Amino acid sequence: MIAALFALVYLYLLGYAFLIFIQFKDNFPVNFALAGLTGMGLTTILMFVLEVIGFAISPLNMILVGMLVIVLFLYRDLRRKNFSHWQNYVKIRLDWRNWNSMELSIMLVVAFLWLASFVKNMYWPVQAYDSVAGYDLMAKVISVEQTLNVSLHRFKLAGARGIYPPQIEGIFAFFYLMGSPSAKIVNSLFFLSLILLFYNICKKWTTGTAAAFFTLLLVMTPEMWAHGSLSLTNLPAATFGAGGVLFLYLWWKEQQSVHLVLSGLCLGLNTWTRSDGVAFNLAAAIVLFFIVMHKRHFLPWLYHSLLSFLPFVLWQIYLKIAIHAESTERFRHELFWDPKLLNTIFNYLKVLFFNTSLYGVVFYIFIALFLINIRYFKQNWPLLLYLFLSFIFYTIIYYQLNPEVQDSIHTMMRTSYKRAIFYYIPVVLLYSALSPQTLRFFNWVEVKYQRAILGRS
Amino acid sequence: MLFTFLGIYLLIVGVNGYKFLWTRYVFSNLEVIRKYPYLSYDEKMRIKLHRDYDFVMYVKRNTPDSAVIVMPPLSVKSIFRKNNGARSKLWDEYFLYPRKLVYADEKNNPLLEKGTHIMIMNTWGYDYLEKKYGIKYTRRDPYTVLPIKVEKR
Repeated sequence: MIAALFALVYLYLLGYAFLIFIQFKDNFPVNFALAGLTGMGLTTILMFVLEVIGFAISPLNMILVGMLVIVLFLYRDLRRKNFSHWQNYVKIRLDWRNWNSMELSIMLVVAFLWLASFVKNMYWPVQAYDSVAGYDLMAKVISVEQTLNVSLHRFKLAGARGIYPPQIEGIFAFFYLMGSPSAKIVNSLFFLSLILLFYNICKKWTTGTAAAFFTLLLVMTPEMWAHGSLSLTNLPAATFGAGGVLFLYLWWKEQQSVHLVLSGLCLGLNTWTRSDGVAFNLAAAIVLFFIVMHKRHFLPWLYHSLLSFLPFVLWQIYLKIAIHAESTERFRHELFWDPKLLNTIFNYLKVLFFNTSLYGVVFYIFIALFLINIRYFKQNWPLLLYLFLSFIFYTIIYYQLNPEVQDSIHTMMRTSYKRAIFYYIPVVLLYSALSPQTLRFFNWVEVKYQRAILGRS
Repeated sequence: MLFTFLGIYLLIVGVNGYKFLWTRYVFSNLEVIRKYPYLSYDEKMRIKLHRDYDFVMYVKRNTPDSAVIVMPPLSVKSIFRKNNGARSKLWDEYFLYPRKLVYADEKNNPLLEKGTHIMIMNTWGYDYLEKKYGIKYTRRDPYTVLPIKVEKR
């Protein structure tokens, strides 16, 4: 318990120090969510750095290098003795005037659902196959052998999940290194961060009730809720991916460069979690390119792309040089035309996207709202373009899979693509929440509600 | 507030997926946790992983940390699950590390020649022992783990 607490304090200190360093400031929930995400991301990056420069990933080394990085992040403020603004990062300001009882009741249900997921997560030990035979196995061995290049690779005991980027196995290993018997809290933190980021960023441009309602749809997505208590990579990758898009949208609206840094970092950490997430980064890079093209100012695009693709490139190099494995072996490198395969993929997609047992009514609502708002489609075009491009790129990955190395396309669609749909859900819901007719509808609901309250009093 | 909860309730009962989420995932899990709050790690694992967990724990108790265990090929049928269970060497490795595991049909795996133990599943393994090492067992337990004793070693 104390060990897990220590690991959490370490992660959040690192995350908050980073937020202070890049001078990002928002309300408490956004700061907390981002401190968690960046803290977890930076911790595994530090592990990777230790590994590359030849140091053991030991608890002592992790603590020392973590402290060093925290001091470096805070150096500017420490030198000027300017600490007073630090409290703003953790100050909770609850202004009940910004809430109405509809929003509050929906958020109570959201809180209950997260709490139920957290309790379930903490109660059951790791038992999902992908985690037992993959991420948690790797994490336990990393913590014992204190290296990312564990002996399992040499004995063909690492499996396909052994060559996944080190974000999830690394952060689990960090908890084990610090002496915690379990690392299951990690996925609950990712789920919480996703909820907090989505709700608070959504609320910036829509009514509180609309933000709460779409957050409820996000949390209540059955497959997503289930993953909130499984030690797998899909929800964390989708959280980073969603963070990347949310901050890209925020930058598009507000033009603050710190949002672009956060977007790039989140997308980078997305490919630091799952290499197939590169399809989403590519889509984001193209969207950003179209945004900056009008102004002919490409510097933001360059540093955003650098941040978002560097982790992917670094991991591929590491795989090739240190582990002597390549994740690209799983793909056919030549272009080909196979209408039968394409047909199979699209048949699965139809079944998956519109399966209410998996994703509730999320995609039905999106299509309905897209059609209702069709004449305003230019209003949030970056989100639509991102959805379209990421869908194409990600589907191409499955089209190019090498059936001789991978499982059959049927298995891959049923098990793997099914979970990748998590990437689309926050973006689809953000688009739905911010569409003009949704805004009009929720404004109308809130006005009616206010009148009913006033009439009663 | 009441109307909001009513709206959420209608959404839940109107969509199968949400109904399933609340009844099967949320409430049934909370009910189990409420009923059995103090189950041990082993008891929880047994509930989720059934006899696969018992078997792998039996193997763990009966082999040293340095063991290299030869496992039946995946084609061998047994009472255990193929993927999420004791028939998968990756799954077993989670519980048996630092022991090493190798399938008997992994011809190119150097671990195969270093095997110190053999995992018997559905009586598979006795013929393998006899054919490869000339070891004959009269008692043939269908599920167990046995040492491979080679004279040269």
